[in-house]
Amino acid sequence: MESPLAQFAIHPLFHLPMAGYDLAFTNSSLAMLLAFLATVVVFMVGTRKAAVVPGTLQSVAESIYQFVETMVEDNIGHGGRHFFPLIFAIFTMVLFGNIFGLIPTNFTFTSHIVVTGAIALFVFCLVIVAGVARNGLHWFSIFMPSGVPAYIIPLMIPIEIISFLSRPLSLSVRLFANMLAGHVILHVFAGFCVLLAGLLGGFGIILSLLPLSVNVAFMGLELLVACLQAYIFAIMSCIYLRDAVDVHH
Amino acid sequence: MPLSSNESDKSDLEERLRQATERQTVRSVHAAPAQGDSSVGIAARSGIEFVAAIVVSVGIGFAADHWLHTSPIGVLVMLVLGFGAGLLNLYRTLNGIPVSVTSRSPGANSPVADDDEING
Amino acid sequence: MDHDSAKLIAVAIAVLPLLGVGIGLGHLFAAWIGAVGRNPEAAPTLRSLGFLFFALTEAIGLFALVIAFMILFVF
Repeated sequence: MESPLAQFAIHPLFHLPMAGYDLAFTNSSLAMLLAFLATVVVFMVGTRKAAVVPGTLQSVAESIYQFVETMVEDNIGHGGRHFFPLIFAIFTMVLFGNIFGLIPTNFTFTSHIVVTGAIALFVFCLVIVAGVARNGLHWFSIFMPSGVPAYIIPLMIPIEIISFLSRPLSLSVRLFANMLAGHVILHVFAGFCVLLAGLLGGFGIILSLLPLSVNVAFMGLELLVACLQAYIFAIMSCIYLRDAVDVHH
Repeated sequence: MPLSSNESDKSDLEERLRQATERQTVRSVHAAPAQGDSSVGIAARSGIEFVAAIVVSVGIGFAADHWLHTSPIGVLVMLVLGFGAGLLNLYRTLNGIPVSVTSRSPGANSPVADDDEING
Repeated sequence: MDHDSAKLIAVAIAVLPLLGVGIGLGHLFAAWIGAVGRNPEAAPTLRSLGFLFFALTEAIGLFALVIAFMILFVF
């Protein structure tokens, strides 16, 4: 049986040597490109013939748009309109990456912490940069807890700073761990089917319907997890970006 | 004659009102689990919030020790601070999710979902 | 004993705390269901409290995982 982690191996499809580095186009890049193209196709075709009574694709596009708009409006507030394109890009990228990863033999780029970590670090840096750009040095008062006794403030400030620093880690690990664990479980149960059929022959094939049905059920669960984790990633980014917009909260 | 018409209108209205109320109740009952689901989804891996704070702070403490040659002190101090930060993270994750979005999660479009439940 | 097998045994020992996490979660949810059964009105409060302690218990398991990964990939 192949190792359940072998599905996450990255291999280059063609090499692209540039300035001493090999900027290879890998299967991960291909999966990202597919997710990007799917997003573009859904939104281009969906909004090309904008009808009052939306068709299937138009209502998909509209409901995703409205969903993200509500999320941004409610979590960042009115000052966060500038961040809508970013949150929308993050949400659709993660959502389509998660869902496309569920197609068998397809690569899941969100199961790599390097991808989720890069997005999370970008959001983290953006909070600092946008916060300082909007509020100046006054922005650093978000580390000042409000409504606590004065003698506890020297203790609370380092705690707040650590809490702030731990955000990109928890944001990226949550998505990465969920996708990794889900795909490993799917692989292990699929491996059981092959193992049973190979060991016991005809009887094994009948018996392998059992892990197969478990796998089908897990596929449904993973679809839910894929959508839910994209939602949580986007909403957490919104909640973190709110710190850049309003300092008093 | 007008009186009876009025009477029938009124009973008709009452009937429709009753039906609408019933529909709303059914909808809010249906909406409540969806709301619970998304709060479960947010809570599902919230242990990570706690662990992330401790990992980050112990990492900082370890680096500080390595740099300043104060071997166990930095890690121990940062462990305590990280524990506090982890608890703070957990508290914010479980209480800080804005209610309005949670009740407007996919599948729960009903405005009647009782919002107080999550704030608890 | 060579280095690799010692490492694998160490990883296996490092994830043993999951035993305690399992027992703890069992106790937690047993108590939670019991409490909600006795007093259904307190369910919202009990739910957020339950999530809090669930996350804290889960964190112990994640610490075991972090230690196991450290043994696997750092040493």
